[in-house]
Amino acid sequence: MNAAVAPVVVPLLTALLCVGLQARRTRWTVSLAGGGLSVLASLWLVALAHGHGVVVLRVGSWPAPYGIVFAADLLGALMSAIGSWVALWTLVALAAQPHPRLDAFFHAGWHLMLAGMNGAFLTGDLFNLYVFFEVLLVTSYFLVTLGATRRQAREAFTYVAVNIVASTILLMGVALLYAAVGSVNMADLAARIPQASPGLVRPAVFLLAVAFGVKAAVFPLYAWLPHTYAIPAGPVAAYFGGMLTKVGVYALYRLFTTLQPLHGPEPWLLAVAGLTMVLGVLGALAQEDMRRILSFHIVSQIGYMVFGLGLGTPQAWAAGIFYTLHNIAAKTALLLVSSAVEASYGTTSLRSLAGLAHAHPWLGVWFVVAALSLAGIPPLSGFWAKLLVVQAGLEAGEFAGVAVALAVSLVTLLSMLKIFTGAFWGPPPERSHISPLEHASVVGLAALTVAWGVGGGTLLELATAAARALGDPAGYVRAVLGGH
Amino acid sequence: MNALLAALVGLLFAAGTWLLLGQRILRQVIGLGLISHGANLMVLLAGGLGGRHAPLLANPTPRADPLPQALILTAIVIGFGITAFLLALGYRMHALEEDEP
Amino acid sequence: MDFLLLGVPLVPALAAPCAAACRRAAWLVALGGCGLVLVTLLLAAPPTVAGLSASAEVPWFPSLGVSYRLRADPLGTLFGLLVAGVGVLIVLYARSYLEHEPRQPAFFAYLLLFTGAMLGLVLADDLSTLYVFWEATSLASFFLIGFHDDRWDARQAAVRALVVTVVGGLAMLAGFVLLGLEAGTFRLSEMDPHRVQASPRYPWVLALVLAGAFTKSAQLPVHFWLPGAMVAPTPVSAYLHSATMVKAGVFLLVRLLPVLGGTELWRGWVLPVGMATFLFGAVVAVLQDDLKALLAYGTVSALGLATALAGTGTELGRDAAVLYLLNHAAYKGTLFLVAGAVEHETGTRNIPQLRGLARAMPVTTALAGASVFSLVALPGSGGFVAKDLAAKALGHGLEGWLWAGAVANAAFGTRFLQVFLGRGDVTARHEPAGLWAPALPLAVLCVLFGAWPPLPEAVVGWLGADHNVWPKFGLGKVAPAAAAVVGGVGAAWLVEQVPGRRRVRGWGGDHAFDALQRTLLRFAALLTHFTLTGRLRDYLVVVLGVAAVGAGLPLLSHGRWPEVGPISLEAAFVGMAACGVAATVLSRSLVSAVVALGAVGYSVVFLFMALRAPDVALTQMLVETVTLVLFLAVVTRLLTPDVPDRHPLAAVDLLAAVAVGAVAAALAFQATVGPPSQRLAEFFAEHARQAGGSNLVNLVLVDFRGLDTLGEITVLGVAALGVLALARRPR
Repeated sequence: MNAAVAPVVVPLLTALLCVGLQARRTRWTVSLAGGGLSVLASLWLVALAHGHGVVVLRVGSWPAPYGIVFAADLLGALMSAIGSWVALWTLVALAAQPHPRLDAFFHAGWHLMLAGMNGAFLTGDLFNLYVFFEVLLVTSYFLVTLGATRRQAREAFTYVAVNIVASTILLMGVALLYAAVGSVNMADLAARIPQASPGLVRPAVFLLAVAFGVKAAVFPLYAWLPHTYAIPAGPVAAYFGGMLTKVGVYALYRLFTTLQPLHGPEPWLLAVAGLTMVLGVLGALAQEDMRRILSFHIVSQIGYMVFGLGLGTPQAWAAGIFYTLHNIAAKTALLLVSSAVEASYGTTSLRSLAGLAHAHPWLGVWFVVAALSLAGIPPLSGFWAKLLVVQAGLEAGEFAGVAVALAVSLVTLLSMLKIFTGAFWGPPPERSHISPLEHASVVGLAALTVAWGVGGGTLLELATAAARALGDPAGYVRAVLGGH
Repeated sequence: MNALLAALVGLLFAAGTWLLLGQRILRQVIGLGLISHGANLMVLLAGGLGGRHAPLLANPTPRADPLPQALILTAIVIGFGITAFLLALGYRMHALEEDEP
Repeated sequence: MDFLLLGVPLVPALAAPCAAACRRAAWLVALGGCGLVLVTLLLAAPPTVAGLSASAEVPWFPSLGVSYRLRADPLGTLFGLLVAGVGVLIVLYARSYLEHEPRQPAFFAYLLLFTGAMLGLVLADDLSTLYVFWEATSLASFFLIGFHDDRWDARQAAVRALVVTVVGGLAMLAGFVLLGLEAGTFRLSEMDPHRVQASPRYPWVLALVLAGAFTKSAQLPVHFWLPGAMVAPTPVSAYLHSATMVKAGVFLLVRLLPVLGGTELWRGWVLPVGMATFLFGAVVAVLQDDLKALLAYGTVSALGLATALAGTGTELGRDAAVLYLLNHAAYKGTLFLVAGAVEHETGTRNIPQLRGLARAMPVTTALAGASVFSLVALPGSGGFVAKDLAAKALGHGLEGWLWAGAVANAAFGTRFLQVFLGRGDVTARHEPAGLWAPALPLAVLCVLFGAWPPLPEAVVGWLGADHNVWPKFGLGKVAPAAAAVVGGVGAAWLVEQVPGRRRVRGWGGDHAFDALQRTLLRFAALLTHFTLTGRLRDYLVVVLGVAAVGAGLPLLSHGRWPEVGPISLEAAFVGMAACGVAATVLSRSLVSAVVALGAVGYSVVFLFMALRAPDVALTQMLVETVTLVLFLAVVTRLLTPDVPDRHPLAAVDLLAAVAVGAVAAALAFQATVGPPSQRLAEFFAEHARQAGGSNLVNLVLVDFRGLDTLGEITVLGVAALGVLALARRPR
């Protein structure tokens, strides 16, 4: 059905339209409208995937595995929905900041990045995934370097170089899988990998895991992230921080549930997750700048998502999916707060800021809400996410991992308190203006974390259904290959 | 022949890595270029070397596998775009008309 | 009625934003909120006496078995009345105490949030509901302790309190999840004690839950956050940190007594901690010079005794604990309010500086007297009744401890009272009614508990006990009490005499906490410094190293040895490429390296042609040419920076390069294992006519896999934009 590709086509068309329009105001309207339409398209896809299972579209009407197929299962649809939502609200935040460089190409780049991201979530073809990753990455390179100074270009070079290496590793993995199985279609691979030569499959899967791991910033491949995410302007960093690494997480889930499914706890994956959690949060604790603290947290939280994956049961995967979705909302909200502060006060350094809660009470409230959610304090969504992960871990008998997860959540709280007592408490500053649009963008994401905290039953149901689908790769294969 | 090609792939990767780990920006870009050549060749190897003829319908079988060739093509073009971008980035980092620290 | 119950914790929480919004009438909103829930609970009380407990439930996360479930049983309703009742009094007190505070609305908002959370805690019948409200009280406490956030010590104290209680809370969370798994349900009222206590995980559950209870109720050694919390405004200290929140830990112990309690392990762990805390707190209290610090340690001590009583694991112990806590709320609450009034009127809380306030503050003195009367447990006071029951519950062997504690209590009680006695320099101006009137009901209760038998009997009877509570007044009871008082007064006098007496702080507890925090930060900084060097090369070594090792290892065990095919003419091109590669590595000048890269590229072109890939060869040639041009264009405009060519540890680079190369070669060789698959190629050939062409590669790009090409074009377009943006001169 066409719904499977709509979340890619709508942003693509929006991008093209934006390039064509001259008037600034019209362009903004079109851009925001396009963002809203993308959200609707993804939500429609979510409804379809929930009701009918995998939504398959054969591009060009060529059957899999000969042509490219879009196979939108519930996980992919959910990720594209939240991705579109984040893209929209970060765009709103951008509207608040005066930007002479926001010309037509910027908007095009924004929507093309969304198109690339949604394509990565929804495609059912491994090489197509590589292409969409490249689209996503190139647009991110473009957005990061727009208006960059020399110093920023240096940091961007690191980002680009690491990702090129990762992409090459991905390509190698795809090549090896083709040599082993004879196609690059995910469903076909899933069906044929068990009979293929392990001398090719094992290195290939490992290479794919490394490539996805670099993008997801897991240990020990995460070092590029904190430097990179400090470069771009606030809302751009919020979009990156909220979504980019989660594409890598999605790919890891796809790898270890569909292509080479796990059948129980996988020790090395759990070890990687634990180390990621710990090193990320310790890195955050060592920082004196709000934005850098939040960037390190991204890494730490990825650890939880990989922990859910590594436990290897559909129940744990549901926990991981719920955690991912919640985290995107809370993290982006926090980054948008940081972006608003930076736009008005010119800095996010904890040494220079104080008393923001008194100057901007509502911003303080939303910060507290999002920060507590991230640290896993009830009744917000982060608590349920943490509870799910703890429960899955205890049921699987991974006590050490659960202890680490709980300890890390405490340290996360500590670092959030560091930001709060450092920047939000204290004598109030010279009051500067924070635009209502920026408030709105924060609310757009923070409200999700509240809604999912108080009424997260629906989300949990969706996450559980998505995980159940992941636990049935045969069903996926049937839907994609078995004639539609 | 496959052994020789595999050795070339290894050589490309080794040299590319060596250059990539150095400190000079442009040499790093050259290193990335070598690595991408290596990856492309590997894709070709993955498709098998048994084909005696180019993948045109007019040619008799055994023909070379068209899929890896298409994949390499895509990878080459994408790689080209990114190399160009990297070069521009390198230029930005060290441009002669310096304006900011 | 049942649904009204659900609203009890929520009404104050919802009233909080209203209070924050009102300028002048914030206290009225707060009063209304607390009053409303008080009335509701009073209405809910009578049925529970008869044994009918109202309960209400709303499913929250059905698939998890989590629901928002409250139950008004005697224990919960009793504590709920305590919270709501004291809340009303505190609101009235705070109105006068904070009359000059500009941020009053925010204060009452936080207070209401706390009240709602605390009520939810005591009425919860589901473990998750309880946990949610537990953490909510810690949060509300954080904001209230740090209310004067412009002060550094307030911020520190708030963080310390929150972290300690959250640590306990996290342990408790794990404990709750385990408990729920062992019991098969998260509903407190439906748990089967035998099943839980027989389980092998029982010790873990107990330990984790105790961690939560002990941190919240300030037991040794995690007591130190409580004295620090005294930086909060006095209404907060009176409400949260003596009358209600700190009792939550003991409340939890009593609540879980039927399920977890009564075992040897329970008694062996809880009783000693409680008794130790009891004695420690009382002794340290005597040495304090600050009115509130003295009271804080006194609270620690009282909580210790209550914990010990719960630790007996008996029904008698439970009743004694509850009675003791109620009594404590009455007298300690009054004492805190008195201390606040003293500070409000004299400007200081320092005991050595204050004397003879009885003249200016007669009513306050009387209230203080009544509460100290109960504190030292003289016959006729509520304290006496409570202590008596406590002694009965603890049984033989611990009487000495109790007596020692009583002496210490009397000592610090005396030190508190001496503020009012004698003649002094510092005087109070007057005695605002708003500051003593709210304390009056509490002080009355202090006496009433001890003078009117029906009251404690009713309370204990409500809990379901069938033993009598009223002590028998005989010389055997009165004499030790009197002796304790005498001893206490003597001890207080001794303490006063010692010159240059140090102000004893938290006995290292908070110092340990701060030291721990500092160490953690330092460790974190060190670790980050070493792992995030900022150098691209280091990151790449890690990525490539991991990839090479991980991909190479499986080959050792699973790699199949492919057959080596014949060498053909193409070998010449391989050789050409190899020479080019060598040249790129070895050339000194950048230009020659670039040209060498071009040579490699062209060799690859020839290779592609030789390997029957004409389209690819063509594309490669075009791309290589343009790339060469771009390279040369950039090379000529670049400054060569003054950096060393290579990282000092060049051997690592070499090793990495060799490893990567070897693994890549091995993988490439491995890829030629077995006959290549013809599946896709056959399909393409068969459907070529349908697709409308004869060049198969072309068709794949344009038709079969056209979406890839769309992506490729997009990448090219965006890259071009990026190049344009970077090449432009910045403004």
